[in-house]
Amino acid sequence: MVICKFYQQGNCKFGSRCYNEHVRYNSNENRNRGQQRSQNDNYGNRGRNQNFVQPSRFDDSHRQHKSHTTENYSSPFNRGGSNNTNFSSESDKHHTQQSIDKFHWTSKSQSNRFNALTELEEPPLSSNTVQSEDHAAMFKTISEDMALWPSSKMWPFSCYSYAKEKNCVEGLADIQPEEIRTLYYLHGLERYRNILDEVELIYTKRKEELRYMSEETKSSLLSQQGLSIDSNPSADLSIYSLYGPGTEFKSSSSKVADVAALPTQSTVNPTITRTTTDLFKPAVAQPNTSALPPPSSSFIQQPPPTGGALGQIFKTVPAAETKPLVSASLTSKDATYTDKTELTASELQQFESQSFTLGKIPMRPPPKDLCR
Amino acid sequence: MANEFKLNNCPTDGISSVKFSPSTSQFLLASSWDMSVRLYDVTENSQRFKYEHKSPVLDCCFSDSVHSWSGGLDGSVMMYDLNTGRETVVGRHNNSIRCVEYCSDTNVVVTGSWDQTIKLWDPRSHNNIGSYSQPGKVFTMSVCGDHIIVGTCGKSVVVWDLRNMGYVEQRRESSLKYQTRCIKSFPNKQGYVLSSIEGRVAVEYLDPSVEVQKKKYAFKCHRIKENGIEHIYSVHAIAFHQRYSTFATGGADGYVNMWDGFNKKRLCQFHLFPAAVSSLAFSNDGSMLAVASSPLYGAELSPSSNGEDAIYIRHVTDAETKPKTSSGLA
Repeated sequence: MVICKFYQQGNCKFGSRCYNEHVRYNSNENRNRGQQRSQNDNYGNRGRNQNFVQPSRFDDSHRQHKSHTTENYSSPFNRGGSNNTNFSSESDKHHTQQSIDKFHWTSKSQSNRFNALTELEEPPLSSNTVQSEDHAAMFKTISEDMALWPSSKMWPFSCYSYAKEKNCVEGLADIQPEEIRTLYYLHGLERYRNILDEVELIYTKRKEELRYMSEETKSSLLSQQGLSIDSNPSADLSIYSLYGPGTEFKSSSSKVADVAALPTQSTVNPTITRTTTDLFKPAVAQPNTSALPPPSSSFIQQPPPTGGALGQIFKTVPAAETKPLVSASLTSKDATYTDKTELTASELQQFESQSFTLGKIPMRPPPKDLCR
Repeated sequence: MANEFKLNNCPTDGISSVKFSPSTSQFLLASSWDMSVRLYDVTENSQRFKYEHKSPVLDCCFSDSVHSWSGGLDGSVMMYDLNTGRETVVGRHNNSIRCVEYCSDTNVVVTGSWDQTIKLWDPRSHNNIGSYSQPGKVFTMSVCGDHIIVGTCGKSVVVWDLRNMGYVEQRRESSLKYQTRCIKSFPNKQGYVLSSIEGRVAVEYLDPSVEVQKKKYAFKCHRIKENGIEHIYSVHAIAFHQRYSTFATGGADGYVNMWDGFNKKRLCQFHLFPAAVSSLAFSNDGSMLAVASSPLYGAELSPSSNGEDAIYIRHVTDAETKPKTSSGLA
């Protein structure tokens, strides 16, 4: 689509009705001039605020449109800014107030992860203040998203990250609706409701924690996000992205390791009651009294590795719970590293070699002594 | 003349997936939580075949016009021959099978499971060709030419080249902030559409070069504002019209929207269906859209069904599915 020149000057009289594309930066221009003030994206005030210095490139290219006054930013026709709030990370908090333009979408092309590459060219104004502003923005976004989640009737058991390309926040495991429904078929209505209440409680608690940010929550979030901010976001196969904070890596993927992991799980966690480990196992000889079409006892036996899955999902939730479902993490075993004894021979060989071989990269964290 | 009708003998419990036959728009396969997989004759509006699994079935697909493959909660991969009426259990996963897809370019059936692996099966010999581990439980899959795109928990998206499964071709993160619900690839194989539980859909491209990646975008949909509070619904299903490359999305709100991904416009919205839309499928020629609607996939977690599970077949017109080219616009 054609990019709207007037919008780029900050003065498009059609606003959200405009037929042309309202894009903040023409990316071709940026590459040519080598300048990018992409940090303005977060605040969306590019055209409106006279305090920002207007870079010379805008005047150069739009000289022929002098008839559109470029200095009159407070004009009532300048509704150009409202279109941009779609693709900044803070915009989600506005989605209740924004008018949803049915015919135009804004492109997210400006705030993709490759922005980080061009941002490096900027002279650092004050790196500390910029970073703390970023953090403040991050906390704000997380807090607001958590506040909106329950009232929006969204699926509650989902992972969450505060912005695109950022890692998921800890403590919120990804559970699909089908998995929840499976519990109903396995255990019958009563048990299902109880389990659901417990699981919902865990999630609500975590969301409340994230919503009313305590210092503790903030510091844990920062330490979790720390690596992702510094690392090059375009390095797809970085070790961190493989072993990220997501809980899905905690459960082993190879068959051999499954069998090995389970005995250690059960010996270390005597506090896990029947409710946890049996969640994905068929209800043993429980007659299904409520009138349901599929009797739960007709299920084929599920192998043990899945039984531990739900327990492992909640491993990363902070251990202050007394609820049986929350396995108050493996106190005698650090979940960040795997024991050397638990690794298979090929995994051990991969860790010990100089570099990983593609296709054989282990799915579990290395043992502590192999980390330098 | 009614352009939409409901199928007779619909499954008695939630419908997890509907697929049209690859060669004709006459036959439709439907898998359901009532443990059955049924084949419907759409032109006559009758049920032709039905076979049962031992547990709810989560996905099904055609490997060719006479063979159907399906998998469910018990992890067994079943193949059914529509001519002989014989069922064969081809293999197993360690945990429930979530998706079953067939790749015609490489003639292989792929099954994705919550045991964090995908397995490849040869449709003729019924052998397991390979098992490949994924970064998390497989939530959704889509075949894209000779590639397969797998969406897992934790917002990971993995692209595999089916001709060379020795390594992951691309490993990416979903660009949305919440759980991935469905992924479908464009007919031109340039990219895919990803939907999440947060009423948002992202259009992404496979080519990792910077210029192409700049074209990706996301938009909000399936949201309803009631009393000042915006209700956000999961986008459960995506289906592409093979000829026009426009796509339909179905959500837990019960609406189906048609979108033009290249011009970034919504083409139309169909009427409200009685329950949440769980699955969508276009026929090969694009003349018909099957809409599976099940209260099981609605916004409430309560298991009691307040509506009925039904499959609606709609004859779609060009006006609804064809991209609009207006003069005077760029």
